[in-house]
Amino acid sequence: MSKLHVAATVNGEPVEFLCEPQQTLLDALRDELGLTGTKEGCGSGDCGACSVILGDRVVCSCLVLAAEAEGARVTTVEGLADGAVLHALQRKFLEHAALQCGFCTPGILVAAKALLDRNPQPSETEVRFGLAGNLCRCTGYDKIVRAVLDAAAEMRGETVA
Amino acid sequence: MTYLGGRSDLRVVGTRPVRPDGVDKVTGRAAFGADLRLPGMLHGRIKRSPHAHARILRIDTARAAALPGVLAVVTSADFRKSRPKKRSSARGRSISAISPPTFWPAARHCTTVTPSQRSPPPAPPSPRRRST
Repeated sequence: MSKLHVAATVNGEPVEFLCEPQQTLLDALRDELGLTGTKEGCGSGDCGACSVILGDRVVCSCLVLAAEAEGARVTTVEGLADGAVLHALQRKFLEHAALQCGFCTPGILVAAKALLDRNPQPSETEVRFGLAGNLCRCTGYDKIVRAVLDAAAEMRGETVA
Repeated sequence: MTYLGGRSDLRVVGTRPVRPDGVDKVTGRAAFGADLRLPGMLHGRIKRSPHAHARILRIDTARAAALPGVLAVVTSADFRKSRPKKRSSARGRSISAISPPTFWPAARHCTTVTPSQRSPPPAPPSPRRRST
């Protein structure tokens, strides 16, 4: 079977890789590019652990073919921090203890970033709606929602007591 | 910290530490089991019965075993102490596993295992399984 050549921009870096026609974007990120921060939870689009930003949309990378990334911009959890400087969301997740086992965390951080990119001032309801596609089985959603709201406030330059 | 009786010797209680593995987990660096890549590593995939209630008459592994990259197909026949076939209900039980060298072929090849089955009448509740 002949492989497909795909050129895309992942986390701001131009990348090229070979993939099989049926290979998912998730497998290409993890196996061809070595970006294992994006997790496979269910493999069927239910859990959101594999969330990445494709263009300007959050997608379950397990439901997207790698070939669909041709020419597109992809953002994964590895692309959130700026070198050694953590993104505000990442810092607030640590501060608010919004993670435990950490398996859902990459997908939730990516989904939260996409949410704040299009809505810098979300209400709690909007945060919960924006993260509705991401399941967490240990931390509980309250701490995650608070971390996202706090990060949003900080990114707007506000300080929350 | 008056509720602790003003104790000053407590170094952990009452603090809000950042979990030591936190930075690795929020950056995607933390390596979970499925993230490890070792030289010569094999991957296995379990094929579970597609039938909620059925007697397994036959498991055809020929097509899966013939696929390139598949090193082994394992079924209950490979284990000496497996339960007798007559009594095996297919309820969610794994019926075979495959070990090809990479993750992707594993997922794909796994789906070609085809168990033959015919649905028996629903089994009466086994006395051994009865609760209370």
